[in-house]
This record gives sequence, C-alpha cells and structure tokens, in this order.
Amino acid sequence: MSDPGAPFVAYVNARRGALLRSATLITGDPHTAQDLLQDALIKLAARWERVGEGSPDAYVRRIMFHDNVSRWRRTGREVPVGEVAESARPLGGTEPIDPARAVTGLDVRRALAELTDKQRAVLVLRYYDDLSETQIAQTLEVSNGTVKSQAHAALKRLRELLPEAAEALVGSEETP
Amino acid sequence: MSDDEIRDLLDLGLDDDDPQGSGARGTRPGAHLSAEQLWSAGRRQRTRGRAWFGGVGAAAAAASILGIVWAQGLAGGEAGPPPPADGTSDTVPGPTVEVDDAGRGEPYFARFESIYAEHAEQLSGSSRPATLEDLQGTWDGPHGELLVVEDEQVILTIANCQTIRSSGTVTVDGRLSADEWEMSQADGPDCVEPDPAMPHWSAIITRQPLVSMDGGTLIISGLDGTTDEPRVYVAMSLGPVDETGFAWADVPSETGVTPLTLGRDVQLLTSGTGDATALQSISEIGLEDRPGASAAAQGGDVEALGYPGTCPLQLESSLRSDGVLLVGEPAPFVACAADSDAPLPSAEPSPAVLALLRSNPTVAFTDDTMVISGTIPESMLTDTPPPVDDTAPTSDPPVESADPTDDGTGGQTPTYRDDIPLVLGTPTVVVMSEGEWAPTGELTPLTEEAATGRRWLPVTTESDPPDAGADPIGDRGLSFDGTTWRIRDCGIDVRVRGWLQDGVLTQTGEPEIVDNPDPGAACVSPRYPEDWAAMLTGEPYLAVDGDILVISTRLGDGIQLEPVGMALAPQGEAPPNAEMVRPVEVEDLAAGLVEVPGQEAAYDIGVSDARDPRPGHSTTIGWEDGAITVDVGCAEPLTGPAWLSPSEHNQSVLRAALPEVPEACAGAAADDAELWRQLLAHGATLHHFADHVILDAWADPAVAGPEVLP
Repeated sequence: MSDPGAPFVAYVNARRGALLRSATLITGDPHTAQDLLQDALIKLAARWERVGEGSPDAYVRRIMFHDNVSRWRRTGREVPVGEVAESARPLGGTEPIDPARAVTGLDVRRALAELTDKQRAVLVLRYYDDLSETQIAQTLEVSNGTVKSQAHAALKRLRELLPEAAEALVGSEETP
Repeated sequence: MSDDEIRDLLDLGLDDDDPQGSGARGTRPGAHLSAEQLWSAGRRQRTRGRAWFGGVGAAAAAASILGIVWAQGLAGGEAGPPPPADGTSDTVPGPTVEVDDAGRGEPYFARFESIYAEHAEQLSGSSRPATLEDLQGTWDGPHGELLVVEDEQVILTIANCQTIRSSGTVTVDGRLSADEWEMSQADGPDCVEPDPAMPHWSAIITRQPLVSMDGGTLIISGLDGTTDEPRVYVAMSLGPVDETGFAWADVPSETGVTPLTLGRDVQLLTSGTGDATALQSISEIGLEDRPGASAAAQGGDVEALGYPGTCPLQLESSLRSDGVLLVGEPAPFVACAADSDAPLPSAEPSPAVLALLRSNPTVAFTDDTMVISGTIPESMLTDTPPPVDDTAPTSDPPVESADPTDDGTGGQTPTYRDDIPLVLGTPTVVVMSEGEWAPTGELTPLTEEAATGRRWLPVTTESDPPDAGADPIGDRGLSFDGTTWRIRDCGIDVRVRGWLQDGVLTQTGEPEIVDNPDPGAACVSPRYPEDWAAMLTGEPYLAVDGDILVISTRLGDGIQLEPVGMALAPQGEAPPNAEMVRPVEVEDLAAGLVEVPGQEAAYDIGVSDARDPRPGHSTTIGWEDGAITVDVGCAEPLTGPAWLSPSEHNQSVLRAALPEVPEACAGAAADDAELWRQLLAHGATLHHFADHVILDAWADPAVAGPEVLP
C-alpha cells in the first residue's frame, strides 16, 4: 500500500525553497517567513486530497497572504529591516545603472517594507513567482483590475524608493 | 527593461548582505519541521475536526485527562445554554431508578507514588485492578499520607501521627479489604495539622476502596461514605462527535440502562499519552484513529482554545482494564483558567454528570455508543438546569437608551466581566447575492419563508461593483431547504440545521462538514469549512436587500468583544428644530459625520462605553451611492457597500463590508481601520442625541482601546 503522504513530501521538498523565498519577500523577514510557510504547509497537508491534485502552490500562497495579514493584525506591523540602514551601500558612480550590482538586498527589503501588504504580495506574485493577473486575483481574492492597479502602484512606489533602479522597475503592463 | 529585471531586483532582496541577516539565502528549507513532520501535523489537524477540539486535546494531552464540556451551543459562545440537542426533557428521571445500597458519600481520587519514584509520574490513562503484590512497598500520598504494605500488613499514616492498620487483602476486582481496621492517634513534635483537602481515610478505608495501578502509580478511589444520601444508578450515553474519537457528545439513551437525562447537553473530550492509553481502548472499539496519540502530538497549539466561549473542565482519569473509569476532581483547563493569559468563564456542566463520572463508573461500548454507568446522589434526579439566559446578546448590540447616562447594558446578566455580556469572536460580515448587484441601502431580516429555495453566491465586495465570480462546482452558494442551511463552495460543503427568528439563525443541530466534497477540483475557497461552520452556528444575523444577502456574524477566535460608544458630530448644519432623539438617515451620513474626541464624548455628551482609539485624530464617515466611506487617515478612505436600516426606539443600524486589508494603511491608522471594519461588520446602532449622533457597537478591545471614563 503506497504512502498517502509521499506526494505531499515530494511536493514540499520540491517547492519549499521557492515558496520560502516568496514568503520572505512578502514578510520581509526570513524567520517569520519560515513560520508562515510552515503553517501554510500544515494546512495544505490537512487538505491535500482536495488541493494536491489541483494547484497546491496557489493554495499555499493564498494561505500565506491571508495569514500574513492576520499575523500583522495580531502583532502589529514590523519592519525589521529598517534598523540597519547604515549597512546599505551607497549607489555609486556614473556607470549605467545595474540594479543587480548597485542596489543592495537591504535596499530592496526596506523598499518592499514600505509597500502595503497587498502591493507587496501582488509584486512578488507577479514578478517573482511569475503568476498571471488572473492567478493573482484568485490567490488574493481580488479583481483583475485590482491586481493591475496594485502592481502599478507598487512599481510606482518602488521607483520612488529606489530611484537608482527606476529604469528597471517598469512592468510589461506599463510598457507603452 | 523587462519583467525579468524586476524579478532580479526582487531576488536581490533575498541576499543576506546585512549584519542582522535579514535575507533568506541563508535560511535553508527544513530549518523547522521536515516535510514528513509537516504531513503528520497536517493530518492531525485534519482529523481533529474542529480547531477548538484540537486545542483542548493539546492541553489535555499533558496528562491523561477526561475533559468535560457543557456544550451550551458549541460554536455559539453565548451565555445561555440551549435545550438538549436530543430534544429530551431535562429533568425527567428514568422509569427504572435503582438505589445503590452500598454507595454513599463524596467521591475521592488519590494518587500514591512509590517513595523511590523521583517525581510523580504522568498517568497513562490506562490502568488495571491492583493486586496485593502491586501494593508491596512504601507509598507517598497526595496530602502527606504514607502507605506501607508489607506482605498482608497495611499501614496508612496521616499527618505523621494518625495510623490506620490492618491485615488486608485485595479482591479480584481490585478492592482493598480487611476484616477490621485499627486506628490510633499519637502525640509528638512531628504531628502536623491534616490537610483539609485530604480524603476522610478513616471512613474510606473501611469501605473497600478501589486500588488500581496506572503504570507505577497507585490510585485509590471510591466513595467516602461521609453522607447518608442514597445514590441511584444512572447511565449516560455518548456518541463520537467525529472520526477522531476523542470528542463525545450525549445522545438519547437507548441502551436499556436507566435512561436518566442529565440536565443539559454535555460533551466529553478524551485524551491521553503514549500507546497504552485508555483512549486506545476506546479506539479499539471501532474507531480507526488513535486519538490519544494524535492529541498528544499537538504541541502547544492551544490558540483556538475557548472557541465555544467557556473553559472546559478537565478531570484526570484512567480507564481500568475491567472498564471502571477512575476520575479525579474537575478543574478548568490551565490554558483558559481564571489565572491564565486567556481566561474564559468556566464551563458549568450538570453536577449530575460530574457526580456520575466521579462515581467510579463503568464504561462500555455498543456499536458507536459509549455508555457510562454509575451512581449519583438521589437528590440530583431532580436537578434542574439553570434558566436559559434570554438576555444573552445576539448579533445586535445593546439598545442605547435615549438617556445618555444609561450604561446601555440593560440589566443583562453578567457572564464574564461584571459589566458586559459575553460576546466572542471577531465581527465578520459576509455579503452574498443571487442576482445582479442592485442595493437599495436598507436591509430587512431574512425569514425562513423568504429563504427557502433561494441560493446566494458569495461576492467580492472589493471589486466595483461587487462580483460573485464563477461557479466552477455548479451549486456554489448558501441555500436553505426549509430545515437545513447549506453552504457550498470549492471544497466546502457545510450543513447546519437551524431556524430563523428576527433574522438570527439559531442552530438546532451540530454542523455537518462533508470531507473533500470536490476531489480534484482546481478551485480553492478563501475560507475553511470550519470557518463556515463557525459563522453559521455563531447566531449570525441574516438580512436581505433584494437579491443581496448580508450575514453579520463572528469568527470564533477567543476574543471577547467589548461595547464601543462614540459620538459623531455632523459636518454640516443640524436641521433647525430637530427632534432631540431621532433616527439617523442616509442624508445624515451623506452630509458627513466626524468623530468627537473621546473625552468630550464621555464627559460632555455622556456616551457610555466611550472609546477613543486615537486621541487627537478624528475619523470621518460619509455615504455615497450605497457605500460608506470611513476616513481613518489611510492614504485613501475605506469604502464598502453599506446598509442603514431602521431599528427600534428611533435608532438605525448601520452595517457595511469594509475591506479586510486596508490599502496604503499602516500603524495606528490600520488599527483604526480594523476597528471600523469590526464595528460595521457587527452592525453599529446609530441615533441622534441633540447635536450629535451616538454610535454603539462591539469590537475587539485591542483595537478599540480602553474605555474613556467620565
């Protein structure tokens, strides 16, 4: 008799890293992200028969998004990256802007922390997890229009917060 | 530039380039639970049925415990107990009352540990009748007693000076017996005052107490014979609540044993540790799971404890191999006891139930029914339950008196704090529709007649206009067939029997949750089945506006709501010669209202339960095209569909579905946004009082802030 948990274990082992990175970007803190993802995966296990053959990624992301909002409601907004501003490297030189070199990870995390929960989630789901607008709308339970407007607002805000990377922060939807 | 570059930029956010290690590159998957452990944890969560049971099970797992819950509306959390679910009379004794000629007195349950034991052992929950060989040695009792058994010599020393001794034996059914006990009292410097809680050993020892072994622990139990009141045989029949096997609820007695009804509904939660638990014995009867093991592994997950609104009683227990149930004294669960961080009012099960459980009853199983047979004092046959608390709050807030000095509690019976009724759970509003979105802005309570045969689909109120979305499963939505409410959504099929009165849905049976109703479906519902069960059994208020259905309910999470009072001042000119007390109209909202500082509301206007969550900030509310706007200082005002409905006493009730995730909102403003979401989800009562509009509602005190006292 096959182990009913084997597909779940295989899924977790295959997808945990990617989901953890998404969670980290959404929460701004890897430890919180670990907890968030872990809780979501436990909930996934509880409903594996129903979700496993469908889209477990979407389910986990939805749980993480809602649980993150709930966590924030319980604990208050925390911006753990804001306390280490000194360590941010200045953007330098007159060379062409290359975000991958010129902007630090800390800069990015600080900027993401300035976004709303939904803006951050839309940004991560759209550009990091490469989900379609419809998939994001289903995950966040909003309309496609909201996804579009939130993505636009998020990128606009990031351009303000990371002017050095403004040239890179133009989404395909915003391209004329 | 491309989306890939944005992805690269986000990816940069995972670099661990700061000294505090905020990045995620160094956080490797598996730092917490392994995939296998996650699977196990998830399956336990699945089988535990209700999160609340899981929480209780986790707490109970610390020992072998029989938890007892006075059901009082499992998910309702209100103050008053409902009638028994089985529909039986509360007080009628069975026709075959039989008196136990031997049993008298108060129950006792004493654990003795070997003097060589380093610490008191945790009961496994599984025990057997002791033999004389088991008793050999020296044992420490719970109240300083010392029991010495050498061959047939049994010596019990109390308070260092009183000695009870005899040449005894142990019967095959595990009773300590002797022809005659010799008692002596010595004087000396070592003598101490006996512990008042100590059992009356001099009476007990002559009545052949039960001696049982649970692992290395000796349990002596029985009735102490200190009262003369006859005890009568009774039995309680229980059926499993779900497949987990550790939650049992009373069922109509059909076993032929004395069919005494025990006053009110009761639920038992059984738990234990390890493989050799009493629960395993229960599970062997026909249940697939091993509830003891599953509950034991719940860890510290007790966050949902108190979901039904009361703190269950726990009773340390052990089930003997011959079916005798040994049960200790009841005490509230530690996690929700009065001195805990999350105190809840203690459950108040029928004294008859407790007396039965503590009478060393026998436990037997017939099919899926557990029958506990024992004795209770004869006087308890006429035990009557407390009257139903008709003043318990419903979905509506207390009526605010026109007299602003009225405290608004209306003389309701205190149930938790001295001054407010017990209202539990985060206010939540669910908006549904069965057709086009065409609100009129006014709600009328739903009736059963109007509900029958209709089906409302959940709508997303954050879209404009609110949208019900697709129906991939074909029968999505809330429906009512005349007796049962059913919610269907992707992977959700929950049914609750209940009846409507004044729009309030009162459950008449436990919710039925169909497991995995849509196998393989790709869609996922935003809510859990348990959430729906909780919302539909939490005495929700259902009202309609044409094709629109609005459900004001609460999602149980242990939060006790508190009344919130505010004064709002019109932004425009008040109409001349206006009535002192009059209802609030849509026009008043459309003209705009601004929050009056809490001090002024409490001192000058006399608002009861006044709150000022953000001193120095005044929230403004408005109304436009059937939507309320609430400006709490976020980048944009909160807005959502709203309904202003007339109520009694020149009042109006404002309900609205504000977004759960405020846009561009942080800090105190976000808390304020959550407060207003709760106030309007619950339903806020509004009325004019002189130049102001008085608002009364309920909300989580964590976001409402402390009461401003006049």
